[in-house]
Amino acid sequence: MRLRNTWVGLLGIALVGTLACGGGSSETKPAESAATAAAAGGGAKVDAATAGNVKGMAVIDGAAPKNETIKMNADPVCVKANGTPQSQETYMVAADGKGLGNVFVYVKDGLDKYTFDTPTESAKIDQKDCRYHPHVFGMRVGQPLEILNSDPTLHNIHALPKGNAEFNNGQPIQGMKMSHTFDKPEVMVPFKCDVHGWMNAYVAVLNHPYFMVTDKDGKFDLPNLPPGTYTLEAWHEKLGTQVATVTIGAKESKDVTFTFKPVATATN
Amino acid sequence: MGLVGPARPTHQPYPTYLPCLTMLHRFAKFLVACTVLLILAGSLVTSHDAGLSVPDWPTSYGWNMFTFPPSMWVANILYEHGHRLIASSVGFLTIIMTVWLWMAEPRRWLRWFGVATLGSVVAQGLLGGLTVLFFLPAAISTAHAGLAEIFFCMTVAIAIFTSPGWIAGYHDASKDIGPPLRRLATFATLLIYTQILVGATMRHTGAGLAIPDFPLMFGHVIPDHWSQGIAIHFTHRVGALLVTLTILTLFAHVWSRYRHRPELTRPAAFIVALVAVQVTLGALTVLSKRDPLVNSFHVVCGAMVLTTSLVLTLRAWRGSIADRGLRNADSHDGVQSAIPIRNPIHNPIRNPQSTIRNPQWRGARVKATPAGATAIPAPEARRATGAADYFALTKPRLNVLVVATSAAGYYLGVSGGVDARSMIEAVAGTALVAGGAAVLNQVYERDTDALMRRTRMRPLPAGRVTAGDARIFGLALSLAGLALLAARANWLSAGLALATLVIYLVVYTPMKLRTSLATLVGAVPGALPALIGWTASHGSIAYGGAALFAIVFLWQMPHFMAIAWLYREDYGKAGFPMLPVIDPEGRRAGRQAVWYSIALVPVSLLPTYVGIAGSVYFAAAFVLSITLLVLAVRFSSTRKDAEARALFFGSITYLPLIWIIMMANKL
Repeated sequence: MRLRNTWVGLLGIALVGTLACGGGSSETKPAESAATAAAAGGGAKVDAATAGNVKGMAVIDGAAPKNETIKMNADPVCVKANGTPQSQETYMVAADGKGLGNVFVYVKDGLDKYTFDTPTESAKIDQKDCRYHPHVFGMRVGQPLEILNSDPTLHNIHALPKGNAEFNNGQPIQGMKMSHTFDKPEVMVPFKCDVHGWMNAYVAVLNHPYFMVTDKDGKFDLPNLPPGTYTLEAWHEKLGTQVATVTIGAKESKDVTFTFKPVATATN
Repeated sequence: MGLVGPARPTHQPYPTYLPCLTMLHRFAKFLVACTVLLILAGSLVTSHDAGLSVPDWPTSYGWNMFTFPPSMWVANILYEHGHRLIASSVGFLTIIMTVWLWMAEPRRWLRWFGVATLGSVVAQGLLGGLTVLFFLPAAISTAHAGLAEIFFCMTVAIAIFTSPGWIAGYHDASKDIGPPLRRLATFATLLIYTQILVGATMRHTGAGLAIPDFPLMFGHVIPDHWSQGIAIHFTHRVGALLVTLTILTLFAHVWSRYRHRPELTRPAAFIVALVAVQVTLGALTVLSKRDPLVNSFHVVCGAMVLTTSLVLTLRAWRGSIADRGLRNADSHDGVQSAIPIRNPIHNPIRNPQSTIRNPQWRGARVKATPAGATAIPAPEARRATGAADYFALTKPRLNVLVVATSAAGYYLGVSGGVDARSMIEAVAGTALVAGGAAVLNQVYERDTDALMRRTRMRPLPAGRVTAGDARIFGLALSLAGLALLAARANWLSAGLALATLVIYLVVYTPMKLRTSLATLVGAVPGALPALIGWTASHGSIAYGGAALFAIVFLWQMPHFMAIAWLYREDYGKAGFPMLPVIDPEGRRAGRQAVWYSIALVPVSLLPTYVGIAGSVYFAAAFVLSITLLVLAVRFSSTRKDAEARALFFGSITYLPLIWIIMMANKL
C-alpha cells in the first residue's frame, strides 16, 4: 500500500499533477468519518418501548430470467472449488416461484431526526470459492469492513462507488485480510474482481441500522422502528428499485410487499 | 510478407551499404515483430476487461514484476501481467536499438529518432502504469492506446530507414514520384490513425456494442436514436468506410502509375488485403458480441493497416525528404563503399565451400537407407522383405508424428477422464488414413522418387512392389481408417480425415511439381491429424482445435524450409520448385522460415488463452517459440547448412516438447 501511494505521488506530481488527488485517497480515517456521520443526524434517540416494525416480502411477478452461466476454467482453483456448470446469483427465487432473495430493503427517508451510534464491530465480506459472500449486504457509514480472501488463489477487490473513493486492492495470499471504511452513505457500491470477471457483490452504505437483505424466501423484517412515516426502498441488481410509503404507530407492525416485474433481457 | 524488407534483391546489388547496418536492420525488424506481439497482448487486456486485475504498479501483487511466480498468473492476471512482461522486453529491446543506432548510424537525424523512439516507449510504460493506478480513466487508457500506435510506427520507420532499399534510394528512382501520391499516402496514414483513435475511444468508453447490429444500425441505415456511445460507435463505422475508400483510391493510383515499383505495389496490395480482413474482423466483433479474441485481432490488424500505410507513405516521400541524410551516409562510408551489400561468405552459390555438405551428415543419411538395395535385389531378399516393404510404404517414421499429434489432440480435447479404448480407436483410424495417404502418394510420385538420392531406394521406384498392388494397399488402408473413425469416433473426425486424404493426394501432390506454394498447402494435411484427434474426443472444432491446428500448421514451415534447403539439390534434380530451388541464395526460404516462426510465437500461446493449457505452458511455449525464431533468424541471415541443420533439429525438438508440456499443464 505504502509503495503504491508513493508511486502515485511521484508520478502524479511529475506528469498529471491535477489528477493526483483521485488516486491516493482510497484509505479513509474511520474515527473522523464516524464523527461526521454522527453529527449529520438530528440527535434524537430511538425509544425501544414505543418502537414497532415493518416486515414483508419481495416477490417477482412472472418467471425470472435464467441466471447467466459463468465459465471459471481460466483458474483451476475456482473449477476445483465449484465444478461445472456455474451460474450467476442474480435471481434467487424461492421454491414457490414468487419470493425474491438478494433484494436490499431499507428506509430511504423518514429518520432525519435520529442519530445512531456507529457499530465498532466489522461488517464482513469473504472471497471464497471464487465468489463473494455475501453477494448483497448493507453496512454503516464509518463502520469497518473486513475483507477476507479464503481462497488459495489471487483476488483483487475493486470497489466502484460514485460518492465514496474508488479502491482496488490485491489479496494474493490465502487468509489475507484488509479493512476499509466508507465515509458517505451510498446505495449501492458494486464490488468486482478483475481477475475473475464473474465475481460481483453489492454493498449498501447507510447512516442508520434499518436495512435487510431478503432471505431465500424473499422475506425481510425491520424491527425496532420508531413511530413515524417512512419511505422504504427495495433494490435488486437487475430489476431496479421499488418504493413504498408506510406509517406506523407505537408498537405497530406493518406488512409491505414489493413486486418486481421481470424485464426483457436487453443490453444497454 | 516482406513488408519492411528491401525491394526485390534480384534486380541489382545496392551500390553502397554499411554492413553493420544489415544486422541493425534485422534487429529493427525483430523489434517490429515484438511490438506486434505487444499490441496483441495489450488488446487482450482490454478485451478481457483485465486492466485492473493486477491492482498495483510497477509491482505485481507486491512482488517485483520479474519474480512474480508464474503459478499466480491465473485467469485475467495472465493477460495483464503478460502484457507488462512483454512490454518490459520490448522496452529493453528498444534501449538496445537506441544505443546501437547511436553508435553505428551515420545519419544524425536517425540517431535522434532512435532516442525519440525510446522516449515514446518510456512514456507509454508510464501511461500504462498511471491508468492502472487511477482505475482506467478513459482519457489515459485512450492515450495509452494512441501512443502505442505511434511507438509501433516509429519502430517500423526505423526498420525502413535502415533497410538497404531505402539507403539505395530504391535504385535512385524515388525522385520521379509525383506529389499526388505523397499527398494521398500521407492523408491515408493520418486518416487511419484518426480512425484508430476513434476506435480506442470507443473501446475505453465501453461503446463497442452501442450499436448492436451490423451492417444496419438498429435496423436502419442511419441510427434512429442517439447517445454519446452511439455517436462514437457510428463515427468509427463511417471512418471505416472512409478508410476503405481512401485505400482503394491509393491502390488504384499506385497500380496505374507505379506498377513497375515493387516497393510501392507490395504495400499497396498488402494494405488492401489487410483492410478487407480488418472490416471483416470489425463486423465479427459486433456480431460475436465482442468476443475477446476477435476483438483483439481487430486491434492488431488495425495497427498493421496503419503501419503498412506508413511504409507506403515513407517510400513515396523517399526522393524528396531524406537526401541530406543519405549523402551523410555516403560520405561516411567512403572507405567501405566497395564492399557489396552482402558478405560473399554468406552466399553458398558464390562460395563453393559452403555448398559442400558436411560429410558426416551425408554419411549418416546413407547409412539410414536400407542396405543391399542398390542393384536389383536377389529373389530371396525380395521375398524376405515383402512385408517390410509394404510396411515401409506407409512411411512409419513420418506416421509416428501423426500418431503422436492425433493422440495428443485427442487427450487435449477430452473434458473428463480419458477412455483408453476410444483413444486408441481414434488414433489408429487416423494412422491408417495417414498410412494409406503415404502409400498412394508414393504411387503417384514413383517416377520423381526414382530421381532423388534420398528416395530412390523406396520400394516402388526400386521395383520391389508394383504400382497396382500399392494402389490397392493404399486404398484399403485409407478406407479402413475412415470407416473406423466414422464408426467409433464421429463423422466430423472422419470428414476431416477424408479432407486430409483429398488435400494431400489431389491438391498437394500434383501441385508440388508446379509451385513452391505447395509447401504451404502441404502443411494443411500435415496439421489436420491433431485436429482429427481433437474432434474425435471433443465433438467439435472450437477454439482449442483451431489453436492446435494452427500450431502444427505454422511449425511445419520453418521445419520444411530447413529440409528443403538441406536437400535443395535433390529437389532440384527431381524438378520440385521448392523455394531454395527457385531462389538458390535461400533468401526467400529464410524469410519464410522467419515469418512463420514469428507467427508461431503468439499462436503457440493460444492454448492458454482458449483455456486448454495453463500458465506453465504459456511460459514454456513462449521460450521455445522464441528459441525456434532465433534459429530461423540465424538460418535466414547466414543461409548455411549448419544453421539449416540447427533449425531442423530445433524444429523436431520443438514440437514434441510443446505437446508434452501442453498435456502436462492441461486445464
